[in-house]
Amino acid sequence: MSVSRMLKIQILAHAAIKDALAAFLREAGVIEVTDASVDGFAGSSAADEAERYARLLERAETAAAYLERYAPKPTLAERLSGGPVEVTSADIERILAETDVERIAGRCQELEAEIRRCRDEKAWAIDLVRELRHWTAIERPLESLSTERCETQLWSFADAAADAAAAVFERRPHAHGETVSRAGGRAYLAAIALREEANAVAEELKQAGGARFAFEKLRGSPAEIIERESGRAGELDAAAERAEAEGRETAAVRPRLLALSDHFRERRSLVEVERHFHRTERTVLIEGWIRAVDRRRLEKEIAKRWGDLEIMTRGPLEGEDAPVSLENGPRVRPFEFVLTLYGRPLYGEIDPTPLLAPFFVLFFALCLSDAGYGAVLTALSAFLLFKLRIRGGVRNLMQLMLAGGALTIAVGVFTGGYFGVSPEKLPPFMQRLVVIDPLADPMKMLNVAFLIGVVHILFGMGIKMAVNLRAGLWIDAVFDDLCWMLLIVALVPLGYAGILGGRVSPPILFYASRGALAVAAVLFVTGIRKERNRFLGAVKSLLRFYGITGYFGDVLSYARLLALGLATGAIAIAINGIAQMATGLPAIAGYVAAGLILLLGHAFNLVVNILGAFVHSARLQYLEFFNKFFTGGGREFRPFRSERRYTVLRKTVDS
Amino acid sequence: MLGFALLVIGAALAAGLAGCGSALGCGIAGMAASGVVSEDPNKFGRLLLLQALPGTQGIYGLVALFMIVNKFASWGIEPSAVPVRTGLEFLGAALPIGLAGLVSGVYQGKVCAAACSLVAKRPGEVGKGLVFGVVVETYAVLGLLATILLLQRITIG
Repeated sequence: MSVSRMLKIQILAHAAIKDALAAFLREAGVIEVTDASVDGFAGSSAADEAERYARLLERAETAAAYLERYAPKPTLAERLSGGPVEVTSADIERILAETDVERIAGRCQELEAEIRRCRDEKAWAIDLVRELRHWTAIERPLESLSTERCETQLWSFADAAADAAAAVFERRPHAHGETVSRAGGRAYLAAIALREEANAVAEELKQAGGARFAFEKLRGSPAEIIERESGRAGELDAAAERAEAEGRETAAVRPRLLALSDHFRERRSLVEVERHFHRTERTVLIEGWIRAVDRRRLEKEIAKRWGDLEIMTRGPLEGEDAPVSLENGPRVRPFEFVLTLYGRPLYGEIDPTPLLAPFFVLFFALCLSDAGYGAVLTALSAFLLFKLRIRGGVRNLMQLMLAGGALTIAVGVFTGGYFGVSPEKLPPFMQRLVVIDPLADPMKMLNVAFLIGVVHILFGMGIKMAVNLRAGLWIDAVFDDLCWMLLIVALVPLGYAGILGGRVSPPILFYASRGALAVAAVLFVTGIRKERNRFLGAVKSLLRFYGITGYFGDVLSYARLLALGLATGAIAIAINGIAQMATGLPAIAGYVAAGLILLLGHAFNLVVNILGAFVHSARLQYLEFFNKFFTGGGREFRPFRSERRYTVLRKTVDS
Repeated sequence: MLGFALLVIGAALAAGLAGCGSALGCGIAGMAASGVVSEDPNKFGRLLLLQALPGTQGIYGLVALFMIVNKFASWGIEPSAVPVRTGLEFLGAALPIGLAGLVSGVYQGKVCAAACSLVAKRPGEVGKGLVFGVVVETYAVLGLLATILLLQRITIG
């Protein structure tokens, strides 16, 4: 449960084993390679090579992405639990030999373009045919409509604009309009005008609300064109289908493309990491960070393979930016997710993951606070974890949900929350288990929330004290941290009686107030030590008591535990109420509606409140808890290792 | 009857104002989220989370409405028997969640919209964007709490 100790490692080797060493280090995956090169650049050939692999990788990935639509769809279960495919290096060699990535990627691009072309042209042909159906009364080829002196224009008008169109022809005696057809509230009209006034006529018809049909590029009569284009639509369909069929056939190579994209990614990473190496004619120097626990094993593994190299390690120097790696047991590890949302600890700082874990789960449960919802959440996350065996980041989240859901059941039992069913309707044994009913007695629950808040804050301050003690700063630990903790403890009964109106027996109040004053006096006197100037020290020490308002605000913030818990319960009750009303509908419809309302309503409430419970529980850690002892902002440890996405490399005897 | 009318107005303001806050907030965040999705549809899930965040104010308002209605129902009296003073008390108690819900909803929406651009540039940092939003939401939670505590003190007679 801590931040791993880091060592700076330097490996000096003969240049001849450079490639093998780099490949070995990647497989080991324990070193974060840092810049050892003096000129910072390994030369242009390496850059070219990296670029070549980057291009191949990009081609393989785009082609695989295109072919995905033809690949068999994995089911949800497969997608959640499906692991990468195993390959051996012999497989890769074989695939590399028999797969021409450039050609396949090029072909995929062509197929995609072909399908798009067919689709566009077909849409165009369909539009044209639709338009030409109005002009089939014209039996002559369209290109012969205009003559040397006259121009024929085809227009359509909404019936409402017919008068305006007619007016144009009245104004211009040398132009003539002839209605060819009528359909759908529009008139289709051929206009014939002298060449010299054609443009003016067109302008006026447009003003009158006409839409012109451009046919200048068409050849043949409308009926002929319709026949031609209808036939072509069929051809385009066939061409698109041929391209699709080829795509479906090609999709068989997709697994190979994925394997190759992993291979190219690996090659590229090897070339790129080399840029960080320092090279002389005969030697290569590799520098990086390694977790102290991994050092011995790495040295042993290297010694097994090569004799002629030198390994040097040392601890991080002052001001060196050592990366941070967290070490937690399997139970606590999922909570690293909550921590890393905020940030990693600084190197040398305490890892708060195990410290926040119990509180996070408790807060989550209090915010959700319904045994029914808790049971559903537990069942769902257990199903995903143990039945479908999901992997990756979601797995951590589901482990959190499992713990949160389980505790939510307990909280729900003690607060009488079962899908918003009112406590009086519960069976007697369940009623007996109810300790606090937050809906009926929110003040009691509020006090519990505040008490939990005080404990959480005191715990945070206690951690700060422990950190100071460990660092040997026992004066700070006693006179800052411990005294402040005592002051807060003494203020709790006073606040409970004075602000919340609770009943506290007079002797306790007496001792609490005297105790608070005594601790405050100690805090004031010892606080002076922080300034060389005694007077300034006294003023600052006095001002430090303003911090009480900060702690007060922090405790108030835990009221959200009550508010969110109440919100879950109140909405659940509302959903039940609406469903109850729906049963009043005639016959079976009422029960169907009520069932749907219950199902969807509670599902919605569950999702919204899980989100709320998660973010608010996290917030209480970040803002109220962490500021007592934690800085954060450390850099993640990113060891140089293989970054395969689709495949895993299986070791064979010869590799 | 005036007493009961004031009670109804109070409940309506709690749910209505807080609902307005959520509508405005979700709207603001949603516009920003659509912009990001136009560039990268894969971020939809994370952005939906951000858009939904200002939606809680409306829920808090509804909670307040139900608590007011429930309280009245638990007395088992006729609407006409609610004194004007009690009605005014309900109206006053409803205001904290109504007002805090309205304003915090809008500002949470703006914070979430900014968080959408955060996600656009650094998809892994959605959690930090959420936390920024939750800091604003505190005041809606406190508003609901104030309403609940005030409702506790209202008695009939």
